[in-house]
Amino acid sequence: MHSGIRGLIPLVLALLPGVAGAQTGVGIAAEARAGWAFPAGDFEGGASGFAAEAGPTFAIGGRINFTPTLGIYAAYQQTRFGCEQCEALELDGATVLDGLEAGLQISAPSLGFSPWLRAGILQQQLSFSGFGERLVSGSATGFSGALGLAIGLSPGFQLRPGVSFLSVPAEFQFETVPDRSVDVTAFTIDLGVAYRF
Amino acid sequence: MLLGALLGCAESSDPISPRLEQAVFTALGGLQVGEAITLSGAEAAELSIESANTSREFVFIPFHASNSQNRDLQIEVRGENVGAVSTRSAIGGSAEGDSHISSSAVVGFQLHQDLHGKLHAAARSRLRSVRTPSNFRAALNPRGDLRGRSASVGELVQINTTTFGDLCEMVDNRTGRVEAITERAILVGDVNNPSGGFTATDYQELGREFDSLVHPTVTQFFDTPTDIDENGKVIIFVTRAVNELTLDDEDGFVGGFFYARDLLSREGCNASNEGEIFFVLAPDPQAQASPLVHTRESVLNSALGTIGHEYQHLINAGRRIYVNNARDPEGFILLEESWLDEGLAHVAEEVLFYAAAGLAPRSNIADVGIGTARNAFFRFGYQNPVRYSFYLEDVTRQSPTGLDNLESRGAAWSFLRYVADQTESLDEELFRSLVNSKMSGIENLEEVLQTEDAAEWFQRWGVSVFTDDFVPGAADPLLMQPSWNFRSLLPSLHRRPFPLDVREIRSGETLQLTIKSMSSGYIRFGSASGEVSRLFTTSGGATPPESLRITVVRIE
Repeated sequence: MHSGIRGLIPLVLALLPGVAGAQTGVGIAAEARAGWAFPAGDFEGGASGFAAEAGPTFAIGGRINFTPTLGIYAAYQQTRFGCEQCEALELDGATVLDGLEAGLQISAPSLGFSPWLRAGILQQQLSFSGFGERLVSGSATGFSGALGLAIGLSPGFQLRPGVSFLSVPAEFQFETVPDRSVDVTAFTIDLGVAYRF
Repeated sequence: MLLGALLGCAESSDPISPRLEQAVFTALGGLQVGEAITLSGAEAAELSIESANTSREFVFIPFHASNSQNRDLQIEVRGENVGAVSTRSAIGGSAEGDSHISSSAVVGFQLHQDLHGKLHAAARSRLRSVRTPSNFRAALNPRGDLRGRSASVGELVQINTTTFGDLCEMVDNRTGRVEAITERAILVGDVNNPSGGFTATDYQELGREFDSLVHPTVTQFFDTPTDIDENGKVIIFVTRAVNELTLDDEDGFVGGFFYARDLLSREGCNASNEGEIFFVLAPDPQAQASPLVHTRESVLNSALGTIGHEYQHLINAGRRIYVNNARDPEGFILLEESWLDEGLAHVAEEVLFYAAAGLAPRSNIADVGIGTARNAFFRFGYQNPVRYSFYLEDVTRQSPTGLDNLESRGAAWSFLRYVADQTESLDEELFRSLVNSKMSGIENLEEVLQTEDAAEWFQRWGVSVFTDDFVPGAADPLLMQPSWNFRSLLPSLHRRPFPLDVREIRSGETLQLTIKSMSSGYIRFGSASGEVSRLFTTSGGATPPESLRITVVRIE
């Protein structure tokens, strides 16, 4: 066992550049993102009759870059889609998608900014609120994809504008009415601020 | 909240109010066509329906879940933002058809039904005072003149035909002549029957059909009869005493009857005939015994259906008294409740129709066609749908478990057919179980169906009354009636639209319904595209009781 770990260390060191991580994109970073989500497909208004509307979204998470080009990330994400018919039904005017997102990030470093690409897995749920209660769908697995730019502001800080797509099913199990499911799909335009430690 | 979200299901275990569930359900698109939701009690006080991007139509079906017979539940339903229904008729169905039956033929059965109910009620009441010891059967003293093995054609016998007064004391003996003896029946004709009646061949043919069709079919589904007179046969007495029960020509006629009194020992009931016997109308071409003419042909055509019906009563009562030892908590004989006994007797007519026509249940019969099936239908089958149509016309004020009348019998038959079609057990297993019970009525039904909520069966059946063969794509098979397509059959029989009493509600309007226990009402409404329609329900101005269950089905 020990010999195995000792064997891995040179491999990891070989992958890492020989200079400080903060200058090369290698290391740990924290990131906060905020933007606007736009429903798509049936979630925007399909055969079921449910029509979500665009709403704010935010995410808080972290990233570990093993190399300047490859890293993993994880975040808590919440999006508040508008729901026009909800108000008529005495529900809060928003339906909330929230949960975890994790995946891989590939970057292409350049001088002042660098494009990046993400592919992730979601574990999220959709909820409605009203009458002083909150009704949450079962937590389900979906996927996401994003691309954007990383613009260096100062040592350690980056602006990270991006666009993304997500898709996750939400299944509601009711007691008094038949169960229902909806596929949550949306495009997001957002801006992130990252700090590399 | 964050932690809850991370855990994913932290909030899902909390009970959620039905109101929130329904609002979310509606926001997510609500009901699909053919889909139903059911609410009860206070949950049913307010119903919100949203039509997202298309106009939709629904039927609102309040149901009165009460085991108490003939109880009323009054409700008020107010509509808010509800729209008109489409031009597709809620009571639709073609009025065209070639199976027209005359109204006089339908009415003709009414007095028979009423008399039978009275006799049944009298027998149940009288049996409350007849305590039957365990050796009751041993106390029987069968009358020699009715013992089949010793009877011979041409022999004269005395039979008590009275149906009024104290059933165990009043005697009105008629002299009968044994006209035919077959393997399973003794056919006896009243010597004073009007002229122009059955011939010896007619009696023989009735006996033959009893042996070949009625006995095997009815016993297959309802078990074997008792044989307290130890003759191995039932006695069918064709007598003008039945005709004489019809006093005028306005209310139809009595077609026949069975009296549970005749299964009792003379030691406890002096007027008993002490045997398996039932009484059938005599042909009367000159209307000598009653104001109504009954041709030989018409009585021949209807007699076996009547006999099959009465045979179920005989089997049911005999097995309860002697085989199943059905007793109430005080030890008195417990006959089946009238509504269930009659429902089973009408199922007996139905299974005779299937057997005679070569058809089977669950074939969604929409038309009786021609030939054998048509002939069998008019001998055994048509009165059940006709009685059922009477129920549909007055659906909120009648009930399958209601007081004995044509409407309740039609409903009870249809309900039992629905139960048979929707359970996994064979029809004969279900009906035999209902016959071979120590309990009666709803308790019997719940025991056989292994449920503590028989009302749920009546409720689903009540929904199927509307949805079957009408709502496209009904998602729940329990909302269907697989044996009969009444939406097609009844209009063809009556030459008028499907007779279900369906009301419509408009915005701002309040409808009042009084619903009998175990029955339903029907209110149709539309919901315009993008609108939220609401129905508010109260009972006497207050929150609805738990006995109110409301089902809403999207029909378009």
